[in-house]
Amino acid sequence: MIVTQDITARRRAEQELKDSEERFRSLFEQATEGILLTDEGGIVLAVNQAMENICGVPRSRWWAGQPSISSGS
Amino acid sequence: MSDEEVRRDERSARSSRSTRRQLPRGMGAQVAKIYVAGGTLFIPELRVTKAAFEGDRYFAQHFYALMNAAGAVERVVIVTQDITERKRTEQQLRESESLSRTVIEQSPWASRSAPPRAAAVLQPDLAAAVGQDRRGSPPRPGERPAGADVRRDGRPPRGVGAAGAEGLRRGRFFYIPELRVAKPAFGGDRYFAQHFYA
Repeated sequence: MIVTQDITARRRAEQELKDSEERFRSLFEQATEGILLTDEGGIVLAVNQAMENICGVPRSRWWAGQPSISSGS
Repeated sequence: MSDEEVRRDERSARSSRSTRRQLPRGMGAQVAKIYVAGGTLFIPELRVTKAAFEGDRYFAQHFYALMNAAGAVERVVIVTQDITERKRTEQQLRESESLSRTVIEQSPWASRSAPPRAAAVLQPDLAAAVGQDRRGSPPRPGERPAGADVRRDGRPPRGVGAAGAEGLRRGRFFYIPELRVAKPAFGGDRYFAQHFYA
């Protein structure tokens, strides 16, 4: 028995989602303003390059050492 | 490792990654509210002192809460703008204006600084001489400053002659040795000498 399913719509949706994410990432990374994305508990989920430059803190430390532009830790 | 230990590890890791902020007085509660109730918040100025910055730096911050379908806060986007240069420029401008005002106020000669379409600084001596309130309103386009025969349309004062007109056009010093001003408040004519510095 051969079952065939048309997944064209899903593939297109995936591609559109991928394109949309690319656009968001590009916008996020190239913004001149520092952008920080947190979850509802204040946990940092994403930091862009401008935020790194503004705070002078490498991105890796945002996950490990609680830096903030105010605390500067 | 038990499930409880795994959960404790996860909580610990999440806690260690949390952001910590020192916000202006009264702003902490407002930021906390964003995380609970959603909405937006703008902090126009946040001063940050840090050794690596070589002096204070200033930031403006926008907080935007992103809600989920259930109406609860799911993400918060924080946009930070470095406004240090703008703040420094504003400070320099204030200092420059203060210096200019001091020079004018303390000058032994009556003087008036009147940049086009900007507030004028009228020295007390001149204000008294021309009978005008020294806090007088800023000159409007086309307005003639009191006591001076100067046009605001870019042309030189009447009667200064070709050499004077050329001097003013080139933005150089110009001197009017005698200027007669007739005004009822004077109770007769008064005479002034005027220096123009472009």
